[in-house]
Amino acid sequence: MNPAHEREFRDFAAAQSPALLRVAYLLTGDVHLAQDLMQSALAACVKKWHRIDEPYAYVRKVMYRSQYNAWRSRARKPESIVDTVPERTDPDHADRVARRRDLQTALARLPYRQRLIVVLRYYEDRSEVEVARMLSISASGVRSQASRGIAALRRIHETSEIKEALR
Amino acid sequence: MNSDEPIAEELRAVPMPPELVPPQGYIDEALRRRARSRSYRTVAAVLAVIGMMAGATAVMGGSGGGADPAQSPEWTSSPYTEPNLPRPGGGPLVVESFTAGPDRHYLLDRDTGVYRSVPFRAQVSPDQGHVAVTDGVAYGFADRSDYLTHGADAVSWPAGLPGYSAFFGGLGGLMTWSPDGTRFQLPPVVAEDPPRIVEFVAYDVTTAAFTRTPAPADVDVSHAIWAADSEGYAVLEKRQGARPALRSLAVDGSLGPRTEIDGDHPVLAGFSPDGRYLLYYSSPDEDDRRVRVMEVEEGETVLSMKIDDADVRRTIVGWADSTTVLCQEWMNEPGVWERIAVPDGTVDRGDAAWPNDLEIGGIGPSSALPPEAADLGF
Repeated sequence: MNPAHEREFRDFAAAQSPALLRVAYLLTGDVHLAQDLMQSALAACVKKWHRIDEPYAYVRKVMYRSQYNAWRSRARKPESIVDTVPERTDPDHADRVARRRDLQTALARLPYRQRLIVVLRYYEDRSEVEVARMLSISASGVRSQASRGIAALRRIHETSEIKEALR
Repeated sequence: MNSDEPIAEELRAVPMPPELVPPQGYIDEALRRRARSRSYRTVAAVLAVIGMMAGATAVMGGSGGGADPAQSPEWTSSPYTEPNLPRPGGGPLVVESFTAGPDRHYLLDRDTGVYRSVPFRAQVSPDQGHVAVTDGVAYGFADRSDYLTHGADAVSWPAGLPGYSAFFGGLGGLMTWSPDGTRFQLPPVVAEDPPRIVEFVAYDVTTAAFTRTPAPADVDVSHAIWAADSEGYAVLEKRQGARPALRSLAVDGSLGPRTEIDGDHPVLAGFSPDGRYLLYYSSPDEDDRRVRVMEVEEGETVLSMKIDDADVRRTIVGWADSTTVLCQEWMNEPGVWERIAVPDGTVDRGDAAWPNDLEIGGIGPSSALPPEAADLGF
């Protein structure tokens, strides 16, 4: 990597790491796994950095694929779930925070592929076609997995507000 | 935007733990990891060269060892073993190919009845003799038997396929063979602002040429499926304030007359093998998801039934034969195959199933499988 590209890479990593970490956390449900995932994805992009047109999209793609492979190779071992309770302030805010944390917990309980597709479709707002291309699966597969994921979130999380959000 | 806006908003608002910060020195570590990986590959390459020289020496020495010179030195196919695939015990259909995850693709070796790993996702031609493949960057095709034996070395990668976005590699979607097996369709070329399909592309394996069909500029069309006679396509016209319409699209881009069809956002699945029926189904955004079959000549819907109910949810796979639609249940694992008779809608829910985690690439006839593999049929 030449000095100009390395500078560009460092600037990118410094600026985008919070957003990348957030995606990684939604996928892994664990702080350390999220850090590892982001770092591995960045490392994987170093060599081809000069050829990457849209680095933010590309690094996320690497993260998704890496995590997908990792899930498969772990043969469906139970996923760890973060149990840190966010600090609470006023009751309404605390309820909202707790509700969303519950959503994260419910998300972490989804089978890996459903979780990945739910994050891609609803957090990243990717189209079915994009997700299908990215994961080398069919668009109908994306549709069914997304639908299954949302249905499973409904079942896992029974509070009325989350149910409303998932409606 | 997705229609499930609340879930999107909630996901974006999920609180992050305060300790979720980049690890110390992570940028330097990323740069170092790459350097270590490069060193490792250099050593591995040297060892590989030494290994190849040793193999060549053995051949020259007449020992009979060494690799087949036509075989890619990096390609070794292996049978699929995990988890054990269901063996329903026999039936007219068989799964031809499937994907177990990124970079884990399998193709049925019809000579041995074993699913073997292949380097790229493969879509089997209607005559089962060829495959269309994609590595996520380009499309190619190969003789099926050669592809199983030689992997990427057996693939022809046609050049001159312009117009794709570089995003996510641009490609990687499905290839769809024409019913006569002479061409396979690639994902359409899409303009981004405003987003719309501008061109449909197919590759003709008999002439080694691309067929590029412009989408009409003044009509909002969806994805295309092959026409039953393989001459052109059928597309869905989306219309504001009116029911969507099915239209034929000739290779030169000219549209045929409209035939209105049911549903708000239907997805075209394909014509029956005899061309009599069109299969389509509701998009997941619709509340009352239905699979529908239209009798093409009369433009009449002859079957409309719910895809999902309280106990059963289905993925539509396609036509099993000219009067049977094949579905897969996905509420439970593994997904049971179901057959819907057309036009009466009778559902035959047998015992055969397929693991939901394995994305099916294509279905084909189970005839001519060796006896020891006949029980893969369903």
